[in-house]
Amino acid sequence: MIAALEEPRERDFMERLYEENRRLLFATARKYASDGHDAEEIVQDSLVRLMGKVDILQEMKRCTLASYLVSTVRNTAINHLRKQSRQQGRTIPYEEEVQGEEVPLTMDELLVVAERRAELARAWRELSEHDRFLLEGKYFLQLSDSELGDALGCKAESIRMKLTRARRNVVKILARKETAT
Amino acid sequence: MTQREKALENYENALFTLLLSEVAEREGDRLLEEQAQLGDEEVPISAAADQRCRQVMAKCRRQEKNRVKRRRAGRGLAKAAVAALVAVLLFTTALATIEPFRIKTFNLVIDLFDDHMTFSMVEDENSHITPAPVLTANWIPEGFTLDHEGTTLMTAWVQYMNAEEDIISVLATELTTGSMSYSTEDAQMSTISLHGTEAQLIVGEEMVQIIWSWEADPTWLLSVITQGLDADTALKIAENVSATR
Repeated sequence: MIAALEEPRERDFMERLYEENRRLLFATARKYASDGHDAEEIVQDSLVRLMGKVDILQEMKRCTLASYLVSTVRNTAINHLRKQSRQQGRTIPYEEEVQGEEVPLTMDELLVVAERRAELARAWRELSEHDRFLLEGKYFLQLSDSELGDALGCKAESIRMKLTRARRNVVKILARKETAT
Repeated sequence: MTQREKALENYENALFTLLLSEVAEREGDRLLEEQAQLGDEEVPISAAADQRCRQVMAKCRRQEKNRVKRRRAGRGLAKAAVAALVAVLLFTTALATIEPFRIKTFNLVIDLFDDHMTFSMVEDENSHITPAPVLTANWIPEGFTLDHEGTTLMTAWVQYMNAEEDIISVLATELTTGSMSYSTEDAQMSTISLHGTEAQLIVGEEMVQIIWSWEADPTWLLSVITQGLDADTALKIAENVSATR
């Protein structure tokens, strides 16, 4: 994968990517960082992660790429904050484990999501930040349950349940919109 | 999970991946607009911070390049061992048919080319092929374990590897059958003193090669080849190699 970076074309791509988007990277990092030093560290860690995804990044449209960069920085920043807290001896309690039975979406509900995808994309920000983070991590950044668990401070086993809830909240947005009309 | 439930889960995953792709495009358009408004005043980035970020990318590239090189070199060493075995078979055939070959003596000649160094023998008198030495590495760094070892008519080797796939190879090669080449590409070469004789030290980015003639029987060439270790460590290994019969 990253072996492709040996090729000058790929190296130029990464350099251009950084050159064109460095303000966006730093601006996103600063939303989460306490100072400039932390922001720089978050950007650097994000770049390391992005270097491992060069083959995926090269195929993305420019707008999708911008989203991917910001999602990566956001995810890195949250990991960074959690790690920093541990180093300073502050323990961030694990999120309350989700209890209850896992009820997946039905076929009918999935078909509604499929039909109204464009509408959902427009209403994306109506979801909670937590749900957006979870769904972006899982389906856009393709993170594993362990990676998501680390970022959210919960066990990997509970990510499955959290995702089910997040997907259900997506369906609820559609239901609310239907009621409103 | 039943087959239907599995299919439903796959469909759900594919659907949400598509949904997130559309969300990413929409969000991306907004982010690009935002980025166009960001100037030096809104997001000041110091030249030093900018430089450090570029250095991080350069370091990643170097690390990956070295990792790929090391993997290729590992495969190269394995191929070299196979090639040595094939050469032994050919040599055995030659021995059976060309009797005078057995009574020649040879002198070591080192030829230096642009990208490699070749060790070979020139004919002298009154010699014969001698048995391979038994190689012992009396010191190796911590973490290395024996990977494989072997002896044939013309070669003997012992190889160690650690969890990071760094390699230490100790080789003995009989030179009357041909020559041995060592890569010198992008490497620094020097002559050192080792085991009471002159040795060639070739230090590359990832590979260190130390080659010398076995003092007990100069028709045998000894070498230590390491990957992922520094020259001092490789030298310490070579200093502690013993060859006996």
